[in-house]
Amino acid sequence: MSSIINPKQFQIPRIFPRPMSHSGIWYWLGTVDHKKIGTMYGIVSFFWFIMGGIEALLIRVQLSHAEADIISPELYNQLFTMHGTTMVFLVVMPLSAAFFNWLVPLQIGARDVAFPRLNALSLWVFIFGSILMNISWLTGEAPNGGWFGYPPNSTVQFNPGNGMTFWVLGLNVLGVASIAAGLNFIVTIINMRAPGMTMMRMPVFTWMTLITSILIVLALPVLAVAGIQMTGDRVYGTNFFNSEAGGDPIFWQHIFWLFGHPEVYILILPAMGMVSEILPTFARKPLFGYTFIIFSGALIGFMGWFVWSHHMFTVGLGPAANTAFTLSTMLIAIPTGVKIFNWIATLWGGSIKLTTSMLFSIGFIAMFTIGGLSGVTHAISPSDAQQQDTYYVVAHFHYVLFGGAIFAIFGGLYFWWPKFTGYFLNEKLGILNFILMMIGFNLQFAPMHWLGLDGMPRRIYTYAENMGWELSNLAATIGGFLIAISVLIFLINVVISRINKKLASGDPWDARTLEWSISSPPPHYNFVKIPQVEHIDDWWYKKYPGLLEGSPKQNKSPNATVEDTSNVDESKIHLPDLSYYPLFVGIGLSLAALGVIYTYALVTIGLILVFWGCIGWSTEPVNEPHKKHH
Amino acid sequence: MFSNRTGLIFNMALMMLLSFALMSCTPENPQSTFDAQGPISEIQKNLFLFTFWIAVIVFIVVEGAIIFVTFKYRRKNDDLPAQIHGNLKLEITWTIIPAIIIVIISVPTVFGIWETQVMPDEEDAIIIDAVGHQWWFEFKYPLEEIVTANELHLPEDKNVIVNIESQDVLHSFWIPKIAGKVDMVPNHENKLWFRADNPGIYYGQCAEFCGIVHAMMRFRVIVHTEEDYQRWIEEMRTPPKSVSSGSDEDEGRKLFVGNCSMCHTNDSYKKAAYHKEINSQYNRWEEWKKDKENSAIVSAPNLTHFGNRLTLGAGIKENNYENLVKWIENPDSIKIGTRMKNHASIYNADIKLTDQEIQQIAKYLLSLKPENETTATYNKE
Amino acid sequence: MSNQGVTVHHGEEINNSTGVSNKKLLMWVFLGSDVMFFGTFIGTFMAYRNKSLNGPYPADTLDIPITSISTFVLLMSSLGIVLALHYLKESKMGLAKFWLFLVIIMGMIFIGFQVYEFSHFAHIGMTPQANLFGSTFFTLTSLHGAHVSIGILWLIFLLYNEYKGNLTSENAVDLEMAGLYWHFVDIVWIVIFALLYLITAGDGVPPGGLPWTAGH
Repeated sequence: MSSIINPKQFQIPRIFPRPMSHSGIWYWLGTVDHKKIGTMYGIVSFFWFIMGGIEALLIRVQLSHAEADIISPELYNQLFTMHGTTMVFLVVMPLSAAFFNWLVPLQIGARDVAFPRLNALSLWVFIFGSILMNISWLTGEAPNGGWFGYPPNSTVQFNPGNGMTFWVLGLNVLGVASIAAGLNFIVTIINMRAPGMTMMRMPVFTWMTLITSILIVLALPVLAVAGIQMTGDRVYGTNFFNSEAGGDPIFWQHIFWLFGHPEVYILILPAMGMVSEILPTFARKPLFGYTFIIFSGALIGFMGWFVWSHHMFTVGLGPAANTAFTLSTMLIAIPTGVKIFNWIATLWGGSIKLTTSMLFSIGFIAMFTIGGLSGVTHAISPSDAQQQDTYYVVAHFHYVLFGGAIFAIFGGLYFWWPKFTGYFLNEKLGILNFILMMIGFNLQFAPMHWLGLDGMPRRIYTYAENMGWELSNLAATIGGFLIAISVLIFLINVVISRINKKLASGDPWDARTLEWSISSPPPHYNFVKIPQVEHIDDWWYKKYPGLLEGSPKQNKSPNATVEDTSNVDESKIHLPDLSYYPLFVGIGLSLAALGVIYTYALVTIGLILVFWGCIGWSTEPVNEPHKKHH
Repeated sequence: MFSNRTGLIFNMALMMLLSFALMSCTPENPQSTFDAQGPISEIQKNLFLFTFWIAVIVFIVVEGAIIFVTFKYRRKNDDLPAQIHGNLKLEITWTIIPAIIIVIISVPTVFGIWETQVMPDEEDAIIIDAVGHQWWFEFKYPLEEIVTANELHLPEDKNVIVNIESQDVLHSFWIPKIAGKVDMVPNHENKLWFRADNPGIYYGQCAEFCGIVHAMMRFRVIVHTEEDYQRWIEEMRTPPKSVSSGSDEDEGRKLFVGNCSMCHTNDSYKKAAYHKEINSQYNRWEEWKKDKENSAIVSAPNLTHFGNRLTLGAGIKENNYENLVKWIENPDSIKIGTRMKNHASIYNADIKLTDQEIQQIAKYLLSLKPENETTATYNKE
Repeated sequence: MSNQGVTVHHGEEINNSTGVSNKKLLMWVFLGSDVMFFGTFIGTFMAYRNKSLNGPYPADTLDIPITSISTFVLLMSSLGIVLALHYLKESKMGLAKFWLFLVIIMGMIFIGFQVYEFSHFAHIGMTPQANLFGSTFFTLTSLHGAHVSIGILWLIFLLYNEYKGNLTSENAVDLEMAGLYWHFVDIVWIVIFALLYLITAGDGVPPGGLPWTAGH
């Protein structure tokens, strides 16, 4: 909290010494370096991706045949609840955070984010929050009320036991992580850009990070309120959603979707940002309509607040409300569509190289278009009355979240992997990864459009034999396993590439933004010299200055070389020292949440940890005093 | 191993082929929304198809453009292509065109909303009160004073207004071929109106996640000709065929009274039975709320004239002797998690029914058909 | 800067657009997020107004005169923190400490009044579990009270640092951040007081009887 200028005068007593070594486990536990934090976000969220995928495969196995009894209804309900919750909160959001962390400081020419310890806090709260939520599996009572937790089914009156309490507490803890990160990135992007980098010279990914962060800090508190209210109901007997006391289940839906709709833009905007970097790189052309794309992103972020009740078209809001939300939802299709045309126009007339990341990015445009179109059919309230709560909705959101966000994230992984690690992911395995994922994904989710229109509801653990749904369900199950194989191929790729280590230079793709002007991987201080920025895609124009005069066929400028770190005197570099306080505050918060379920003793211990951690953090100097400045 | 280009074509083609093949409508399936059997589902289907075909055109244009650019502009040499930053005219055009398409779609949509969501005159309509329970549907006819469960009888070509509510958690009332769904919300009264054009048997299903066995909360809608419908109403007011004393059915009747009738009413054909049943269900529910773990009573489906029902267990199994015996012996064998299994005293370890007793109850229930029944009214599916 | 001897002063801020330091910007954005938090709770209260199935109702329980006193105290504490910051910036440490101390006392008085008020409510049967009014009223006011309490702890910490000579006019931004937070908490209270006390305190049994319930 405070920067005490005379650190020798007051620090609270340390129970453990401050980690100082740059190796070993405490280096990772105490790091405040955005790059390390980004790596940890990526590894943990990929682990949850695999868990969520296994949950999905179990669901698909159960649904592959009519009236199967491989999975009991109770377990099935837990599986689909945790699958949805995991994929949204433990996979797409933190994977995006991994990229925010790695890329934003590099793209804006900064040495780190505005508040490195707060950044570490976000990571640890996420990690321990995700563990908290999944501990419920061990108790045999995982949450079973759906990822959306509608009362009264999720109230303690109809769903006693700890499952949904784990869910709601887990979400509240995770919300803290997201909000802290959102705050951090807003301040970083607004205040720490390199000299000359005006807002309209920022890379698109950074812009999307900014808009996403604003959405996060405004939407997650709304979810927090719903979570506190439901925790109150489940643990302390309040009445917010207790229908027997007059509580209104629809009210939960309003609060949840007021959060929930901006949330889906939180999930997709970073992916759109990544694709907006990858396409121009491998087409060797600037992004078509940078200004339009930024404005549509901002407009989507803003308009996303006015559409939430399209998730509630069937709850009985009445024709006037349904009309209003139909119209607002249809309007939001316009800025989304604009982006798709701009991306295609970026490719038009380009010089396209189909690397793995380019394939995923083009695949993103293709799949997201389908998801967007099915979304438009949802906007129409009368036809939505048939589609709501059927597999048609499942098809829609998987096309935009998997075919959209996940494809883009895979594209981002292949694109930025050399920057993060210094070596390439194998291209041949990458293309196999893409092809299998593309086929498997479409095989799994395309039939669901039809299944929904054929009357198959969601969230059912089995279905009758004479419904005509078996072939499509079987196809979907096979598709699911194909996806699993493609993810396995990705993991094999990661291992093999690490072994073979095909080294990458600082700028292996001849790319456009600042992160490619430094070595791969970057030094821990990022830039030897903070760049002076003069254009959008500043690195590109440093390499090809002739383009500024309008001449397309230019040779690379010999002055534009990746930064040389060989002459840097590291003893004069002072980045913030490590700190374990964020780790302990993160642990404390999750312990306190766990204590709400089990015992006040645990709440007390958790809160003491949080309190001690916060005081320690405030009184801890950024750098230990024995290191002198020059 | 596919090359990049072949792989890409293959993927796109496969995807499109698959989508279209599998998306071919199969209106013959029991819950297909493409087989609109009434004006509400017809309007909803038409709005969907209108938008769908526009979407198909957009799809072809956009995906076509993607495939086109990916091939046409493959990298041929190291030269930088023309570095175009944008084109304001183009961008404005492709903002305006989607906006126009949106407006075009909106117009019939708004009309559709008002047409489908504003109730018609109650004077000429059948009024139904539909109450959702975990995990069965209660149907009441307030004007005719009839109460039944899991099977809704209606006349063709007449407006039906359904007052939709729930006793416990969220459910949803959905008959895909007749109308889109409306949610059943406790403390709210939602309304749905529709009309069925043709006689027949239609499938309904709960479409809002409602707990452990949401998957098995279904119902049937039987649409009759006007005469048959009137006959059905009459039959619901007629006592069942009498059973001969000492027969299995008679023994079953005694067992039913002793073990089942505290939750299940089966004599709502009597005069004044309608309001009595409403009170009984309310009382049973209040009793259950006092001790949700161990209560011996809970509100349960009305079984009047159960012998004529097409299904048991809320639309999930054919109503025949074999299935009924299995159900009574152990409901979990058909539908896990029912309140009956958790609360009925016959499932306590010490109070069990013998096989013979179960069979007698089953025979009794299947014998519950109205005295004046004309079998033409009911077709097995 | 040359390539040699890279020096990084952490906290070196390249204030690009806003001219506001990182810390202040952080607090502003956080307060924006807190607006959504309180806004949703306030919305809940207003949505559930007159929907309780049983008493006690606001008219039976709320005491405007008493709460007006605590409101006044809290409002005055905002003036206090303005003065505390002003004197800190001018390095008039005596006055700075005095006013900061007073703000802390006033905050504690506010919390004291709330504790008294809540225990009185519990005595007359108004609890979070009693009805919708109880649930919405208590969560909203308790969370506000929690915000005030965290603020008080923070201000005590800052006062302690003033005594230790760690908080001076040079790093006055640290008090300014706390001041922003304190003003926010005050403004939220004005909204709560206006809505929960002044406007709805006359609510008795809901007009038109109790809402319809299912089962009948």
